[in-house]
Amino acid sequence: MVLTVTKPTVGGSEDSWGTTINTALDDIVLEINSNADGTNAITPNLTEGSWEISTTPVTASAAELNILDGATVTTDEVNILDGDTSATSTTVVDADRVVFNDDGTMKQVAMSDLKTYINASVGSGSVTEVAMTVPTGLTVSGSPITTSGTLAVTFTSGYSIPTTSSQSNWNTAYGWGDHSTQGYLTSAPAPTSSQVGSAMAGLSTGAVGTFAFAMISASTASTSVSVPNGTTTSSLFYTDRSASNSASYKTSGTWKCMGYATNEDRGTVWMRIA
Amino acid sequence: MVAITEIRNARSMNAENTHFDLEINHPDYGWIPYALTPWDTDNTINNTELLALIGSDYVAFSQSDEDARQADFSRYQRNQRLENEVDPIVTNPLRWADLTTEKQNEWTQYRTDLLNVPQQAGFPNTINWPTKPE
Repeated sequence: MVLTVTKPTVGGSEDSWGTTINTALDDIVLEINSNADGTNAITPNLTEGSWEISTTPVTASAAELNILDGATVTTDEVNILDGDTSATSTTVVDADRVVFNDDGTMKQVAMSDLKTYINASVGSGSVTEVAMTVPTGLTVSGSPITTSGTLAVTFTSGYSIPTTSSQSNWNTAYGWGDHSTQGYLTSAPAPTSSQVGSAMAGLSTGAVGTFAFAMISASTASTSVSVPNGTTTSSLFYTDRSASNSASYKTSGTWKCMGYATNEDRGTVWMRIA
Repeated sequence: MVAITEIRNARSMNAENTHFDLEINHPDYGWIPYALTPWDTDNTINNTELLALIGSDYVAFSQSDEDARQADFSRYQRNQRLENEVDPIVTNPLRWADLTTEKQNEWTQYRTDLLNVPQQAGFPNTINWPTKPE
């Protein structure tokens, strides 16, 4: 745009020319207009903090403002650097970049570079031998593994994992408190003579442990004799010495001969053992 | 209670098959003979379980064998009477000489009757035993 200034005239009238004043305005106009093509631009000399935008002083230095020289950054991109916490779901690929501080120098680094670094630092360790130890009660086989294989853990002989039912019973017994104070028998005293005698007296005729005067049966007598500690091979007969009332009183079970009996004299003393 | 798990050589001793002679494998004595009877009141060995073990594996009851056993037993009883009752009288000359002729005849007849017991019609199961002289 070309600037035009109408200079005021003093002392003139409709019929005469007056004097035109402020002829220096011509120079100003000339100076401005001559910069219309930028060949003779006015160079303002702004001082930090002395110029304002909408009454707010601009305090940045020229060097600081020049940092933005060539910047193509968007407002959204700048806001992300300013602590924006919103996230956008992204499938990360090798070609993606992250802003990275390389020992003081900010760079964009490809994800592939990070992957290479992580694999080299974390996932590439080598193991030459894997062994397993187990506590008492367990046995491990296949240890150590130097190439491939299976570590198998089994119970040592005499050990097992108690079942839930067993543990429940133990817990019940544990709940009874100190068993050493419960009066449990740790040994059984031998029965007294009177106790044995009473027990024997309580046995019925023919019970295991009782004695009887009895005679061996015909079949036994015809084939053998009964000697001490021998056992019958058939029923005995309760009898008197003459065997006059024996036929209907047969014994049961197994009897051990406590005397001597033959075919000719079959009656003797026996003890039932089974 | 003694548990018996093995039996062998079972033989039925009556027609009802409730009385058996057999062998049992006793945990303390090994194989021993055993008489299983329905009148046994001792519970040391469970006879019901023994019967189950026997099942049908037994020698059947033989009436002729039982008659032979009874005959042998009756003769044994007869012999015991002769030995214990008659012989002390008739084989002792002094005691025999003290008896009257009538008593000597009674003892002689008693001895004869005992010797003839096997000839009774009911022998061996039904015997009419002669009466010993006073």
